[in-house]
Amino acid sequence: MSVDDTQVKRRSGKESPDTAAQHQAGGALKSSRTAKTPVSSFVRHSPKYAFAATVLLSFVTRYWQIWDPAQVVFDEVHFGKFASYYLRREYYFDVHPPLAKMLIALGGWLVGYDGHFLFEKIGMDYVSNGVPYIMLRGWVALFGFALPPLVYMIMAESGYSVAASFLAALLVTFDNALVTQGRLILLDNIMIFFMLAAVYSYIKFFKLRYKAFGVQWWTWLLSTGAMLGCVVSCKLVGLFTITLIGIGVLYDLWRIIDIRRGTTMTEFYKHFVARAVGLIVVPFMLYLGFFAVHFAVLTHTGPGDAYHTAKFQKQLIDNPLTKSSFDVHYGDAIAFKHRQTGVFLYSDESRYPLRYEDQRVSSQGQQVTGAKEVSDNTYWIFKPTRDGEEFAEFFAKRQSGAEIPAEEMAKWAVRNNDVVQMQHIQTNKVLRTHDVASPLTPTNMEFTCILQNDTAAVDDTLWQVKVEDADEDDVVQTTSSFLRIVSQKHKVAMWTHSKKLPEWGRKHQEINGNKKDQEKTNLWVVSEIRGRKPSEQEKTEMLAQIEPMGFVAKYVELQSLMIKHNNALTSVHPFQSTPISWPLLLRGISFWTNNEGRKQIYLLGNPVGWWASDAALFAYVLSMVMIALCERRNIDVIDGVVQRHMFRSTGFLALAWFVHYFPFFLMGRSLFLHHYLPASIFAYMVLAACYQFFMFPEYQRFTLRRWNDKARALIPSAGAGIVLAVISVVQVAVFLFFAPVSYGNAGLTPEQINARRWLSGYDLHFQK
Amino acid sequence: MSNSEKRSPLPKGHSMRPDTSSAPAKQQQQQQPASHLFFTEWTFTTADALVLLLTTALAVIVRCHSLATPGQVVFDEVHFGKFAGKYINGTYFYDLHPPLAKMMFAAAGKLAGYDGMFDFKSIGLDYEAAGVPYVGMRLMPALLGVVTVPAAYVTARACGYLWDTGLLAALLVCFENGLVTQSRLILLDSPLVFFTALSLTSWSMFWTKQGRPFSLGWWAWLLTTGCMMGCAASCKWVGLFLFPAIGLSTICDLWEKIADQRISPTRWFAHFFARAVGLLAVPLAVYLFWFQVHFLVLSKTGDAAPMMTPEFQATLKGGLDVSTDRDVYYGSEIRIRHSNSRSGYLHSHHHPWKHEKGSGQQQITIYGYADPNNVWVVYPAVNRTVDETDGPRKVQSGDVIRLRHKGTGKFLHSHDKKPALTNDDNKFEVSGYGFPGFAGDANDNFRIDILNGDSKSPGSDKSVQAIYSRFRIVHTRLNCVLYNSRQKLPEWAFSQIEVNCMRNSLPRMSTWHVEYAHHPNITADVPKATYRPLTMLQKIWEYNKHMAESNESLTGDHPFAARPQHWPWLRRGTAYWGGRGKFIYQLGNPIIWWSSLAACLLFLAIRPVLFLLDKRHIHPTLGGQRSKYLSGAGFFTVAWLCHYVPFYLMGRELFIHHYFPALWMAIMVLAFTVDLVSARMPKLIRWSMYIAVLAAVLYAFQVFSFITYARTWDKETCVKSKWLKTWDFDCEHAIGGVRATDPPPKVETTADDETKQQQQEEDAVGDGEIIPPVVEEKSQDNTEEKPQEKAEAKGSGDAVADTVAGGQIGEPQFHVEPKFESVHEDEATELESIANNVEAGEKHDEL
Repeated sequence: MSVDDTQVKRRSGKESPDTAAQHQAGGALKSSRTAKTPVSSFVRHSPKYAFAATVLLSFVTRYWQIWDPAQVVFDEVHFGKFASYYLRREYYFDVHPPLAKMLIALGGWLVGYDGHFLFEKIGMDYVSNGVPYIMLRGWVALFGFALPPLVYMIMAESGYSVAASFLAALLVTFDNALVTQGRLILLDNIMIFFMLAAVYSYIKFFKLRYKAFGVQWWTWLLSTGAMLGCVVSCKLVGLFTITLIGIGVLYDLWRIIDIRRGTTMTEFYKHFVARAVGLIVVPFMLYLGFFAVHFAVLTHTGPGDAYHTAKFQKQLIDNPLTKSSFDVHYGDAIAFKHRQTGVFLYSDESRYPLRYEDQRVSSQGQQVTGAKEVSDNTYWIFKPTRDGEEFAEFFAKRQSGAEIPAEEMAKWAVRNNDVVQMQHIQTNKVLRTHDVASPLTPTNMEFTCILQNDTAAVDDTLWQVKVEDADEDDVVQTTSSFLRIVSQKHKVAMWTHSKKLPEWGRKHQEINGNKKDQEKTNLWVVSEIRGRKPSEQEKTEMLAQIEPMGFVAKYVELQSLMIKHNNALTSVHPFQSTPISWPLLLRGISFWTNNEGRKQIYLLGNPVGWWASDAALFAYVLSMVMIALCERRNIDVIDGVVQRHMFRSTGFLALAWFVHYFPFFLMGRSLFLHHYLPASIFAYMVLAACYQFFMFPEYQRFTLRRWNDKARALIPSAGAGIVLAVISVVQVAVFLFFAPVSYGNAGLTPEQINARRWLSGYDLHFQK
Repeated sequence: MSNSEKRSPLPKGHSMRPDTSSAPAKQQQQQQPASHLFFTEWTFTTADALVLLLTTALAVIVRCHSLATPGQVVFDEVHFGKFAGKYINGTYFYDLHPPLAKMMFAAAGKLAGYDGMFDFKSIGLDYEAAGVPYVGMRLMPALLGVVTVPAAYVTARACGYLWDTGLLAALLVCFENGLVTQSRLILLDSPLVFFTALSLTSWSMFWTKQGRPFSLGWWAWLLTTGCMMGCAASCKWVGLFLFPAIGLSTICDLWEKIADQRISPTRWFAHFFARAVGLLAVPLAVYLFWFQVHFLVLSKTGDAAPMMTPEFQATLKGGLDVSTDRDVYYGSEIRIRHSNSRSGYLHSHHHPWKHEKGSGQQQITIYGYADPNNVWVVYPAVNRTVDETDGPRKVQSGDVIRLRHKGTGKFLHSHDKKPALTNDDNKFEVSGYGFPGFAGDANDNFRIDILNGDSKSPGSDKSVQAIYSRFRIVHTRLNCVLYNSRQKLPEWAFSQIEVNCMRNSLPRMSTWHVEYAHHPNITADVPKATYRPLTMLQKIWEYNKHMAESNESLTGDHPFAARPQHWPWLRRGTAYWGGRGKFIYQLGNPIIWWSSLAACLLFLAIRPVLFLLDKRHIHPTLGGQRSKYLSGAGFFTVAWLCHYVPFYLMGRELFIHHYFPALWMAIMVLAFTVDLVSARMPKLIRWSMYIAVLAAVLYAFQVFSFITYARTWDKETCVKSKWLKTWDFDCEHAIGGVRATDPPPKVETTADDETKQQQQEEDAVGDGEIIPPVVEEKSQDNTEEKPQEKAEAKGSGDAVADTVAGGQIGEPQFHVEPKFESVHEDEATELESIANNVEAGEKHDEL
């Protein structure tokens, strides 16, 4: 890289990043510098003042009237509720990893909240429900409060001037969306906190690259890894942060492996392995660790049970499956319930009509349908296909109510993969399927009942009982075994769907044979055995029988469910938006409204700030492209050190914006404005960086210096000072202008509301 | 042979580069061999001509052999044959693919004498009997398929390879069963692959002209590339993937050129703009041009017209022709239409809401057709009567009004009750309420908020004007807006579309306009309003938006749909057609698919390793082939990635035939890789290697030619040919000895009564020639269940099973039905729902 400026050339030997090790030698350098250019005491202490001001302003904006409104706002519905479940130790299911929610719960636990309130609806009152919501919000707001100082530290650590660093922090402090989001019981700010902490740690780590494998180097590497683990344990969006750091590491390794640096391959491998451990293994172990805590806390049955397999559910204390789970025996009068639609297998004397409306013909056999309620017609018996006479004997004995030894009972238990007949008690016929199209679904096979002694069709009446997730020979149990009833001969599974039969079928559900026998919708359970209630002894036995499930198995099951349900989050929300609309801030989200006071909370960024940072990003990319093209032509337009800083440091921030934004375009799920908040912080930082590039002509003077370097000039020119002042004042003014809808603590008249309707998409309430 | 001596061995890849080497660019750059800027000039020789002739002749035989079999509708011919007919008749239709390929079929059909009267209703319909000149129509894609074979040769030569590698590439393309199958039928993929291949060929040829930029040949190939890209995109949107592929190569090229100090900045910009014109402007112009032709040909309205906006329909002959009074006054009778959907008009009728949480008041719905019950009368909300002392007043934006249903006299009303289909807190039921003598209440008050007017009709943003003013209807008490939920109500509401009142609704689904307005007392000369027909560009834009939506919402569960991760290793194919003892199953040539995948992966493995080695100053020359291989195989591997990876991001239903453009590129990489491996070997060994590859390919081609050409196959060979367990072509009906010309064996069924009965019915309907699963609708329902059951029950080798299982291919044939690929289900269902409304008994509503 050629450098023309002689002054820079002279200094570049000392100040180039390749010798940044001089931090340690900073004292000597500083003193020489201070001696050369005397600066006022204010300038000397400006880093401290700037940092203090950031902390103060951040505190005020986040904690201002944090008790208002004393009602449930937006997604507090979910995250407040989840915190309550942690405190009640009841199992719940959510698509997000547990850390942020556990932290909220931790806050609640610290202030003695017992989790009695379930945050059911937006607008429910906290005070009358006795929820220590101020403490909860105050706790979560700690993370929001920490963001501006972190931004300041990242900027300063990256070598930006005090002015630019303070500008970035100020922009973030006075962003309406971050404030709104940062003072409520929501996840995003916790996640963003860990995200910025990871970025900060990585920058620290990167700056120590000439003291590799030292204590500090390891500390910041592991800290980066730990923070990455935390951010991904808050929301899977954390994967974007991992991508960001990953790209940084690849760039770093790519430089290290260059033979011109004289690195040996052994050294390279050491670098590689250290980073792999620190940035892959550590985060993953932490991620698993938080799940371990999650399972350790949530030991009781709760609303999340139903998402899981029976085996998982049985791990939870007081779960309903264990409470009434009996072995099913041949001869028991049992009711079959379809797991998905909840209907019972039903039959009676009525028959299928000869011809359906669409002119197809039926077998005119006895109807088999799905009824909503249990009745005498919904009881069936499993009949064994072996040892007919022996079974008759056993059956007679059972009917008479005689005591039967356990061994004999065990012999007649229905087991996984048994081939059985299913007898309908009321009509005394057996279930059959055959080569006739079912009434409503011509692709599926009709189900009917025929006489037991019909030998011609006996093959049609044989069924294999397949238990989901069970071993060979496992006994079928009520409620907890999910069964597929598959025809031995036709390989179709008993199936039903929510389509109703016409009048002739009593509007019951159609039951038929589904050829896709592996579908989840084919699952049935034996919901009860007529007349069977558990004794105390049986209850304890059942508990003893539960097969323990290891952490890994639990984790794998939960993780796959989370991914599945996350992708299925496609229901339409009135305030969802598309990623393309976010940087331009075309629309906000209504969080909460109060009709009496005409108050509302409406999530909206600081429009001017967002638009300005878009412009900065654009200007940055454009100038980088221009510089790159000029460099290809060997035209120097910018000083080498500045260019390197611009490429590396600002490039890293711009890349951070990109990787936290672009992947949303690829997501099918419903998306919201607050998904853009992580990216918006990086956009603000790019804005501050651009301010420095464009306004500080003698920029190189304070690149790559420690953030509290006293020698840093505060404002080099009047122009730069004016621009800084203008940006700050506008940002604060716009923030205050929108503050009533960000805090929701002041009612506005329709005129005032309309004045805030800068874009047609800002659909605030009470406009008329 | 040919011009091999012209190629230098290029140890570092620099000697042929006319530029950059002397530029004092970065040191690092100079040390690395440039990978993407390799090119050679190519002079066409007699040997080339010979090879081209030979391969073309061979391709004609392979592609056009027995085009007449089967003489029935196969797979998606259902759609594309039908669309060809629509072009010939000029009736408007809608499809989610751009028009070019379909128009080519129409042209072919027209030339062959097709009159457009056959309806291609279902797979298996007979062409011969209907007199459709289907062979002529199939000849078109077959010939396009033929061209892709010599194109592969030309491409390889242009990339600097010798005649033998070119021949290998051409023969691989020639004997690829999947490409052959696809090109023999009336399907869009053959034109698509044709234009894609020619784009890449032209682009390679353009590179051979790099030494003489801005020469005639240079321009010619550049513009040809652009044209071909535009045509590819006009066949299917998959063609758009050419843009990143060729674009990346262009960017690399310009990036190198800018570092070349011998190229002046002006000249560099000339390079830049020439490419912008050739590769962006030209394709766009071509794309628009074909749409222009499309709309000019389809000038008459058709079944699909109602799914377009009224402004669009107004451009079609016999389409919507609305003329109404322009101004809406208090006392006017109006019809209100939902603006951004095709759902229809605000409607009411004498039937109550019947859902559990409902009020039991009169239903308000959206109904798709003009009907007296769509008529409403506007009243002011304040004094509730039309005060006309000083003449009729216009309805202004922001006015609070009431809407009285003319037919039943009820007022439009909303209140704090849940609508029929949702429990959403933000949605409320809308009903018709009131009785004679009752003055109504505050829940009848709605405010009209005009969102936008028509700039050509002044005042339409202030006062309500029919057609021109778009407005929301806001319930003043609940602060909710009239909203089209787009869901069908249950039968008790005649399956019409639900309307509710929603808070925080998106404007899109809550915008309305007046389509008809008339004040009984104003009969004099009044200003009229009519829909403004769209301009051609607007039409194209609307149509393309529609295509995008249809593509997104295409989520069927076709039994042969396949995800991208299953394509390259050929997990399974697609069943296209089944006849007696023979069938068509779209399966590629496994040898080619597997080895071309391996070739692409090999490149992807080699490239990063080379980068790393360069970084360590180790520069393997790959037998002197490095530069040629990295640029040729590199370009085609990137192109392959561009045509393959994006499919992973698509949620829509995908099929194995989406892989064909990528396959053509992978085959090029394969040929280049074989060349790389054998580059340093003696000619004899090199050619034996080529012959071995070809022999394996030919063997596989021959094995699967049965399902490619629908040749009669015997069961034993069929079963043996299932190299992978996942290949689910049905050998049960691949029984030798039964020729298509044989009379169908008489069905002697031994089944029980009900099946016998069905069999009789089927016999009565089916005509023997047509295989049961694909018979017309009437008998379909009886039989669709049976084939598989029969086949399983009877086992193989049984005449009954053979006949009945005719078209059975793994799944009930019921699925292998028009639904296939191109019908965009949302449109279909929406149309259907409109149609159903008519059937489902709006009779009481009709005059």
